[in-house]
Amino acid sequence: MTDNKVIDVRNVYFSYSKTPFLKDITFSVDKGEIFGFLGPSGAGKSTLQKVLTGICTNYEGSASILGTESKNHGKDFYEKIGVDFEFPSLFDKLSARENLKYFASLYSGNKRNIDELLKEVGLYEHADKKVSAFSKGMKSRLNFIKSLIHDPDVLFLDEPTSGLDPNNAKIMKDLIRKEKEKGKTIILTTHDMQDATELCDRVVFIVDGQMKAMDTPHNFIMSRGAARVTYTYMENGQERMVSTILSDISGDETLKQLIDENRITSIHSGEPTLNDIFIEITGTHLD
Amino acid sequence: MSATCKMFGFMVKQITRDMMMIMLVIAPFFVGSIFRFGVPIFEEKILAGFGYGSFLVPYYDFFSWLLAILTGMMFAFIGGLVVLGEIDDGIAKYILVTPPGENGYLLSRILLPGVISGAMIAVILPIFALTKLSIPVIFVMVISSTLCGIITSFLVVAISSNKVEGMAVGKLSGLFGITFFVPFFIKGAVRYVFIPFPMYHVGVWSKDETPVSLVIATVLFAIWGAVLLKLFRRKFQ
Repeated sequence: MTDNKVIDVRNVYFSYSKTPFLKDITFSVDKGEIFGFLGPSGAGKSTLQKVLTGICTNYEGSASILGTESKNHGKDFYEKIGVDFEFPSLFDKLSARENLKYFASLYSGNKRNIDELLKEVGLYEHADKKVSAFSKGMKSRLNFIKSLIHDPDVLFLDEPTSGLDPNNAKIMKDLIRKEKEKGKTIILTTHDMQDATELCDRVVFIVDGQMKAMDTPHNFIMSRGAARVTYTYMENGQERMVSTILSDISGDETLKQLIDENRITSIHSGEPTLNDIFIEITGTHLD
Repeated sequence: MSATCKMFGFMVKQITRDMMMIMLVIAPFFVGSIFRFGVPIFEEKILAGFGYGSFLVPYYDFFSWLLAILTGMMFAFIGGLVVLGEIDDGIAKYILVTPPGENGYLLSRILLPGVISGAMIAVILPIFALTKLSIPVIFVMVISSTLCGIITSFLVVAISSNKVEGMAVGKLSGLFGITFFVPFFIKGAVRYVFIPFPMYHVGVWSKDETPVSLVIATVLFAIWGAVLLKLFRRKFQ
């Protein structure tokens, strides 16, 4: 294991029954990296997260987190990792501050300042309000900082923007970026390709418990199709549309002529999305 | 203070905020008072009027057993309901990824309340028993009722999917403890239906003073505990 490698997974197999569910999973994650597990529901992303967080220990192969084999973890393992499950796990009858105080009390190491965390996510003004009165976005933000309370080195985030409105989703993504800037290693489990493209340094496509491909979102997009330019113009009273590859645009005489004659009615560029690449590689739609 | 003790302390705080839970804690004292003071009065003032003045005297020990079993059950019920509530809220699952982990959770929510119920049984029996109980009998009452309570907690959590179901299962699982009385009241082959229940064998010991019955009860407690613990753990994954 190199010094920079925080997570090292080698040939992991896991099953709930006699049929293997996770098959031959191998990857590693460096310090400060945001690594995304992408795949449809039931693909095995959350199970893989359970293996890495030491919830499922009867796996074959090796899954090492910060040098500790997940299945042999001791109590201090959880001092170093933080987990944000998809659905908030909070005491509704307690205030935000009381919730954070309670969960902080379960850790023995250094803790982050509760007020500062609440300020970071814009909940300081609501610190003494009961969680039952919180909106979904507020609960998600509180749940997120709950996983940071013990200042873990590795964060596991399961669908952190799921069900959030665009504004709250943006707040959440900014928070995740901030943690990356602080040097945290982050495992992001999602089926939202936009989130993965925006946040992840590398992603792995998981379908039917198997890794189908692994790369950076940029490399995926660039390797699977060139960016295209599409323009429209009027001819004989009808709108016509032409699409050309961006790199060939200098040789497009029609476009040059249309620009000279000022007849272009619309023009835009586009590139394949991570979602297109996912479908192309796996033959599966995300749901 | 360890994280497990903090979790337990937090549960106690939760209980004090819930009137139903408070009632479950004080129920053994309430029932014990009725047994201790109400039963003799009922016998003297009412049954005596019908010529049955000492009708209940031979059954006085049963009231003590019932009180012990009930105390274990009430605490088990509290632990089970708290766990079910925390499963509903996703908190139980979250505890798995904190330092106390599954074992700390189990200890704080099921085993510590069980131990406290045992201590409570040891305290309330000498206060509310209608007859003088020997130390060995109190010892067996405390241990068997505590184990019975712990198994009831596992049962409530393992086979209920939410708090409402848990309350129904909690009531039904009372039958688990009541099997203690089977050897006294059910004659013939039908009583062998209750052989798988450990409290049945504790009842046999109480009736016939056969030490081997306690050994059988211990083995059965261990089997029930192991099977239900496995089902209990599944709830978190």
